[in-house]
Amino acid sequence: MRTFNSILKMNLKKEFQYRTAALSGAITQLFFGFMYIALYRQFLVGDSGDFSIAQMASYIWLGQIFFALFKYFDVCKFEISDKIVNGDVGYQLIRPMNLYSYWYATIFSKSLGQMLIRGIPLTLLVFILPSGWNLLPPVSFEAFLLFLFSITIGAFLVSSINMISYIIVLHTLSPSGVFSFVVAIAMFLAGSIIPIPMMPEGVQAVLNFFPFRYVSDLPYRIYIGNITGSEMFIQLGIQLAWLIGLVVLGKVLMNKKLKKMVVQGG
Amino acid sequence: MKMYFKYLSIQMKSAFEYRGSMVFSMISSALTTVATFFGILCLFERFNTIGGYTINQVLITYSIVTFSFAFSECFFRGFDQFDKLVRNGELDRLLIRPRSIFLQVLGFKTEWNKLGRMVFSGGIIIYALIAANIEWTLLKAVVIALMIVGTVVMFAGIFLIFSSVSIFTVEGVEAVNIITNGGRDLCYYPLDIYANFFKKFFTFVIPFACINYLPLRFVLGFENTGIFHALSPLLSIVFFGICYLIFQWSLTKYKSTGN
Repeated sequence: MRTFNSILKMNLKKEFQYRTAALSGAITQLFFGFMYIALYRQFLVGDSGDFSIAQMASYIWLGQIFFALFKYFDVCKFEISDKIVNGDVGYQLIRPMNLYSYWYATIFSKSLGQMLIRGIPLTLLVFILPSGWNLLPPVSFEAFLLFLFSITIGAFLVSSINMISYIIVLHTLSPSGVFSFVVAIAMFLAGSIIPIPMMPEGVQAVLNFFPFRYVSDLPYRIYIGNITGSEMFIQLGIQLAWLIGLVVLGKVLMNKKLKKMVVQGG
Repeated sequence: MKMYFKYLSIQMKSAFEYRGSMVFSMISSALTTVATFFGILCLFERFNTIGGYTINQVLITYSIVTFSFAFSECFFRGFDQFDKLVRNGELDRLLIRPRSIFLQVLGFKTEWNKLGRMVFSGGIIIYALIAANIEWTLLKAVVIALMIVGTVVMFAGIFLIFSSVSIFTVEGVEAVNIITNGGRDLCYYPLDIYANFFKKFFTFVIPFACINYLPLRFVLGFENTGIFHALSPLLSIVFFGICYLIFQWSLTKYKSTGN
């Protein structure tokens, strides 16, 4: 736990150095947010479903604010995948640390840092946009607390998914191949191509069988009040179960691999 | 021109040396396009039409812009990553050779894995053109060809502008994605479905409209369209010319970063 904290602190400090890059990132996020809202408004106009234009706008903005936290590509290219490919991972192995926890903490803190530095200014900005385009406050205080809980679990869940990608890289030694594959699939299943509430019922039912939906879609929908009551608590349970399951799976896979790993030079 | 094909054949040879990995990365790059395509199908499954366009009509703009963007990314990759050339001083090496910079950067890097996307979206172009029930005339076929070529030329021009920008900033700027990837995503749909603000920005600042809804409305036989709509993709050549001039001008301002 202490190691985790110090890795977190170190990486947060590092990310906060890149302020201009973050500003540029926030502007990009702002544009994409506007673009998606402009588009989906045209679809939702005259639709009487359970997903209103105002809810859609909030959903999109939450997606843009937490964009850097919930990404499935090679977040730690320099810290992990480059080191797997060039053999430096050997140095990481001789340190008196569990490699799984070390990587996990690195992935988690790096994405958290990138999200905070661009997300905070973006949040303030999108709150004050004209109505129908803005981020609404959470539906209730209770929903807000559950949103916070769920998004924290989501942040840990996305890191445990990315861990599995990196463990696959340990086998294939080709980060770009693995990640472009994972990204394409995850983007769709997580609802970053189109919001999950706007998908046909049948497709939504299929997405429930994958962990990606529970990472970001669930907390956003708790925030906008699109998932409530007992349904919400069941889904929070499933979210937790995925987290525990994927961490256990990752640890097992990693230990199995490390036992017979060959580091080629360095 | 002969030299460019020489460059291309060298690039091709080196890329296809690792055949298995090349095929795999082509498939996974196509997969991203498959995912966005599937997203559009999902939306239309639930909502039927958007701004008066049906799914097959939207698929025309979607497939043309995906195809042409992948084409530009594949063959103009050198300009897309121009900031790297500037940063590590490699541009100096190109500048001392007695050949045009444009040609050398063009041949510097080709991203063959984008061929996967081109094949997939090429297929959708053909499907959409058949499924959209167009009353074909020779002029309409020409307009479709102009749209495809015009989009390639337009994105090539945009890459050129950002190459010029990186000469001054040295670093790549993430906000550039707004115009490249953002422009592409925006043009998936006919631009006239968007709010006025977006439409104006992308008509007058970067003339995406002239390779998007203007010619599309002509091909689909909408009312109040004429020869201006049909030939509007030609404007992209003017746009490219301006970008090319800016690029040449910025090269004269180039200060080496050393190496």
